Amino acid sequence: MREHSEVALRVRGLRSHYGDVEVLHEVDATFARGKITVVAGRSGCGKTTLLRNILRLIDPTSGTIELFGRDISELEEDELVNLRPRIGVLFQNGALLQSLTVGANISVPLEQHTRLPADVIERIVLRKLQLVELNGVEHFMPSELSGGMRKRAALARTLALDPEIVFFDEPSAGLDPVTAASLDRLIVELSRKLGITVIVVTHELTSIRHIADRMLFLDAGRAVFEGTVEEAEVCPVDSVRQFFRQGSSEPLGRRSPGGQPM
Amino acid sequence: MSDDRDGRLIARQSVCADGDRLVLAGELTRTRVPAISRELRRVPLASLRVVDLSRVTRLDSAGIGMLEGLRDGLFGKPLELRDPTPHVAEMLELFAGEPVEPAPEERTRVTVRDILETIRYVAGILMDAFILSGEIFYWSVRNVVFPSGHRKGEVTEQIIVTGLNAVPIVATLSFIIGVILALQAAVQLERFGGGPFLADLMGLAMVREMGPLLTAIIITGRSGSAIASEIGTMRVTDELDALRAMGIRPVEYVIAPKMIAFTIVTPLLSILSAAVGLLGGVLVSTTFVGQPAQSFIDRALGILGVPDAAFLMLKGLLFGWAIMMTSCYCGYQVTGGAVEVGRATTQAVVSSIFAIVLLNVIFSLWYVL
Repeated sequence: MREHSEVALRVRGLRSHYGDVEVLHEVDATFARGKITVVAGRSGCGKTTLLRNILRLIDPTSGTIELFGRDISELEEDELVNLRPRIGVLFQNGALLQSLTVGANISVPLEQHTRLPADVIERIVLRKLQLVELNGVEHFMPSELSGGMRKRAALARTLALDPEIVFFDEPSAGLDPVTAASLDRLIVELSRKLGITVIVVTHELTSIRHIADRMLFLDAGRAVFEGTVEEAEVCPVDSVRQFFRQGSSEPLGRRSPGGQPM
Repeated sequence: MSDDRDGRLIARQSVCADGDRLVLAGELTRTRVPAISRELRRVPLASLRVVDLSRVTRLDSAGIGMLEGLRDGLFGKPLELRDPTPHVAEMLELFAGEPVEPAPEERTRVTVRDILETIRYVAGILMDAFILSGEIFYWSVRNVVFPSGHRKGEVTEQIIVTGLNAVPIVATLSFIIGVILALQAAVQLERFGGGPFLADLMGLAMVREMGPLLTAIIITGRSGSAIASEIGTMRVTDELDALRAMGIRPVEYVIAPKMIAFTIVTPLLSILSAAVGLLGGVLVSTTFVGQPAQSFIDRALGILGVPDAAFLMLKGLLFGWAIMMTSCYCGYQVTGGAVEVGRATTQAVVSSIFAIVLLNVIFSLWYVL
């Protein structure tokens, strides 16, 4: 019983296809409640596909996805619509609605899923923007923001309904190291302060070391490692070892005068 | 060939061939390769076995391509690349290994299986379009009853964008078309003394055909293309997935308000188009035929009945729905990037006009029969 309450999400035997190509092969994974779990792996290994399957934006070929204590792998769209307000998703490019202001974007889920009066929604919008350290941009259009600000604004929208579990798809993609680090810090703070279960899809080793409580490593559509980052660093699995070693290597081409690596 | 002789030749040119040996000199780069290739065409290369690269100062991928071309021209006979400078040797090492074979071209022979695949593909498209249309109708009707599925004020905004903003262009073009049509008709009718019948002709033409058709074509160009590109872009930028992830149905939130607006706007714009087109007829009638405006209007309205007015609105409505469904479907099919958005927009306009013409044929047959 205790183990069940500690697990926010469990995936069993998940298989997924794009046409005839099998992208995920019998993936088994558990995601701990209130923790930050990073789904890592090389480009094209199926990280985003796993995320989209869990969110049921893609229908899995087979397998189960236990979320909030029930299997959602075969739920109809109507049932998913009722479930999704409990989940937050930050897409790779933010996916803010370009036709709406930042404030209107954040109020979309509030208007659609609650009967709150307009002035309360407005206050929530401002609070959420404050939470992601983005004050005073509620009247801006998404196109008027920088990449990092767009992601923060999208994060504010993601948090609008106080979700229990939040998914991040490559949060630091396309951001400079400083902005990426500040977003990482924000993810950690949100998880710690709000007790949200966070699942981050990324291949950024720096981010992984900064934020991950636990880690799931995918290689060619298979889950090959599950554990802490410390365990991953000494994992004997080739793909995991190579992933950490490559990330830690010296810059290429830096050689000593004798031709040997410095 | 002695070194001295080589040196003299190389001083003048980049290519020097002697028996089975070819000496190349200078830069084998993309700026020099075209000229060297032309020189090589004048040199017999059938017995070539060795290429001396000792005087090549620079080599890039164009040079590598040229050397590969030389080797391919020998039909499997070995070719030795001799004495490359360190830079050239490094480049050769970078591109070492068996050259990549070009991907085989897609076969062009059509088989029965291809035809069946095409039929299945087209059937799939029609089925998808049918399902999407059903969804759009269902959620639009539901949105009329329970208007909480979309943003407050969205339908009004769409009515303004699709309808109100289109009034000047619909009115202007309809007036011009009305004048042109009336002028052409007046000239012919006057030859037989049938000037007064211009009002009959204009009434029937504008109400039954030109009004709804002109409106539909303008709406396709203004709003159909905009809807296809908007939905296509939302697909590309994950906005539709983001809505789904928030527990919001994209059809209900994005498309239903547009559909409701189209349903209101297209019959009204069709009426406007027919009316303004008739005004064009009035202008021609009073200035060229000499028929007073009142008489023209009385005659034009006299020939039209209630069914014509109903057909005018029904035609406008069905044309509007056809544009809506086609544009949404084309937008939904976008999976790639900006190029696909452009393609979907073009596809939406072409398919919408095709659908409108097809519907018009059905309506015309209905009138006649």
